[in-house]
Amino acid sequence: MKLIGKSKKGSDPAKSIESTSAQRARIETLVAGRGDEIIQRTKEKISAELAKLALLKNRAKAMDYFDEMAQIDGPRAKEIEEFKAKGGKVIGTFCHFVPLEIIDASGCLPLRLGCGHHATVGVGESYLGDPNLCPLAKSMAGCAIVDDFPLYSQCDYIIAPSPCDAKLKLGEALKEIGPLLTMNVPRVKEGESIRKQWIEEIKNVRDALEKITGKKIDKKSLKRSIIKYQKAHKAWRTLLSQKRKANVIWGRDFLLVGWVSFIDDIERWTREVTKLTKELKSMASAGKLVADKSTPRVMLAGSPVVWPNWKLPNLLEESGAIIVSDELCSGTRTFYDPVVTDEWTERAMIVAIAERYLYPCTCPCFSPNVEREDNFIREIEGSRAEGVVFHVLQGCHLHTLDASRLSRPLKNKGIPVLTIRSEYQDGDIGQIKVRVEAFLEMIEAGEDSLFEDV
Amino acid sequence: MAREQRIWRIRLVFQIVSLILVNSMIFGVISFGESPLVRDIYLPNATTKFFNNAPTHSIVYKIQDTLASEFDTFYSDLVIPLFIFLVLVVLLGRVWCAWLCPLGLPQDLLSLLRKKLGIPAYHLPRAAGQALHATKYLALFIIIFYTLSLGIPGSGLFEFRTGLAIPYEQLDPNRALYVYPQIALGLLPPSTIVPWLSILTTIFFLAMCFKIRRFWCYICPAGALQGLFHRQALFQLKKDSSKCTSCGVCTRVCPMGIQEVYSERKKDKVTHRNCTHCYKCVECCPEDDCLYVTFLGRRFLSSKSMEHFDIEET
Repeated sequence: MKLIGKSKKGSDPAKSIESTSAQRARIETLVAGRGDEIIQRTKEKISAELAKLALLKNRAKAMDYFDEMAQIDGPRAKEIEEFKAKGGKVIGTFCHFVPLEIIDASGCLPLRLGCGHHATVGVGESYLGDPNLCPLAKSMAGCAIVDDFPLYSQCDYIIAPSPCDAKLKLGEALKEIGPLLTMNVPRVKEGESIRKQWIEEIKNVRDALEKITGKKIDKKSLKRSIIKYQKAHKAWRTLLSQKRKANVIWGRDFLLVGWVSFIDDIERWTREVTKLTKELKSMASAGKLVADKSTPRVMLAGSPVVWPNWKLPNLLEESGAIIVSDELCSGTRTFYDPVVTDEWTERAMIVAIAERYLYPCTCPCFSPNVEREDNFIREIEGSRAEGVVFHVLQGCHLHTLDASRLSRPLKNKGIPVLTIRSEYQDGDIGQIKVRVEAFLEMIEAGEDSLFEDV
Repeated sequence: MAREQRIWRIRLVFQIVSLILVNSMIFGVISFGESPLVRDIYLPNATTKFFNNAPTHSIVYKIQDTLASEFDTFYSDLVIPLFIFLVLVVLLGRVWCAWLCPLGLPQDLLSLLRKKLGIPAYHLPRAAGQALHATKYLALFIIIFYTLSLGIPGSGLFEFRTGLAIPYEQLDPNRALYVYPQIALGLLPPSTIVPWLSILTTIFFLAMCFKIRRFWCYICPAGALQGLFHRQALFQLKKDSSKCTSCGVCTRVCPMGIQEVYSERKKDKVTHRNCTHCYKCVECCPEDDCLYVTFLGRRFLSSKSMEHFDIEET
């Protein structure tokens, strides 16, 4: 098996329990020559989902760009190859805690690895060895061990935050395959010691990147990167406000735009999002809506819904609802918070970046988690959502617990809540469909009593 | 205008104008001070008397002066100035500190210079900041206690009245910062005495304020005096907690190290007694209308997200 990164400096084979050759042999038996088939199935799944999206009513033309980028072996993969040929390094990231600004400032390319490929879940599960783990982690592990998996095989280095057990142990498992840096995410945000520890954690990332590139990250490039991502934030927020004004974009399309930011060149992505927002604005003023005003408005919450796992969004929107808002770290939350700094000294910028990735984060891994509770209320009120659907991945304890914890106060406020526990596989579609339809009927029936201003 | 600059630029203009006009120091209209109309107006912010005939003095000066010398008249001279002081503080709160104070301007200019040079600010640890904030109340207490005992004939300190009657004057950086330029400009006779101790504190002031944002505001007794009534002022800093994402930006950018604006989750009034109304938090808060400022209950300034501004190019 080919290793993820060609350089083996990061992991020391002598230190690991199993020798590298034994691990290679193990991975080989696990994949058992099915690698190409798995990749093929993944591509087919993506094409099928894209075909479904293409049929959507009144879809904005600017979405074509995002469709193109959504293919994992499409133009973006070629661009990354060219970037690597020029000596650029690609940094894989696990989740929302990795400071993208610092990766960008180091001249490397951030690539968020969180994925929804159902074809790799099986091998990933065998590799990690826990059937009760969440499919997201299994899928990521599967992608990492399959030879030449698009995008994954291009990572030179992985930065792995550990907000939950799955991500922590996934990082440990992948350490055997290629160089990887684990980030310690605190579970409590309060107190000066936590703040200091997290700032050090961010500095660790900076030092690791400096080691990889052999170049120091200077003030100028850090400032440039912060501003680059502030612009992405601005474009994203403008799109969000536009989306809230009228039903001009399907929730699935919006989630896809968010996913494309995981892999795309951020400046180009910002431009395309701005273009999309402009088109949506003209659509709104022309009255060209994707769904009329009486369509039940649903908020999607819980575990990340990552491309191409469009199972629940498809079910919701095909059953006659529209996803008007979400609080997913793969959706609205991607660029929701900006790095704000009033001084452009190196220290001030690092602290600003650190605080942006910790304090406003609504990941359920934190306790107490006032941020998440408040964010729910904000999202529901801002988007005038009539019901909340919790998407809970099987095996994701944090989201399962938070779903039941948050359901109660929401129900008390008169907001209908539906919790869908699911995997990546399509086996439970029929059952979920019945529950979703019943839920939407309930929303439509009780519409007047829920919100006065709808 | 970039988002980060929209408030402090206006504030800088206010500070310069007030330095010239309200505090009347560099271009003070000397004869104007004799007018009975303004005789009793003492500014709540400045801590010194800049020159004899200036139209406006500082209340801290007036308190020291009266307490030390007017035991026999039961300090009746203080009644009207204190009343005017109260009115001024209730009217503007500590807007006096960030927008109108003659010592605020050099502090902000020093910070600006530091930023231009790319030197990071020193953020006081929470405990040190709290201790310094307490120092200003202690300083105020000592000043009042000392001058009060000076004025009482049987206190044993009565003889010091001629030597060291107004103690804070000896230390105040205002003295050296503004009286020397006036002598240089010929506005004051060269014989005007500037206490050498205040030159030392001025050097200390310049050094500390360069590295620590608004250092003097932590220990200024005039700020302490205003802080006592500040929360009842007509200017109020308010917060809409439902819009807060707890990002902590307000705490990080606050020159006074106030955490309460960040941690408050229930009440909407977040004006803290240490707040100088510089509105740095309102300027930097990345959420629409999360932090806002009211005057007589009317909102006139709110935080705005980056959506509404051009983002600065490098």
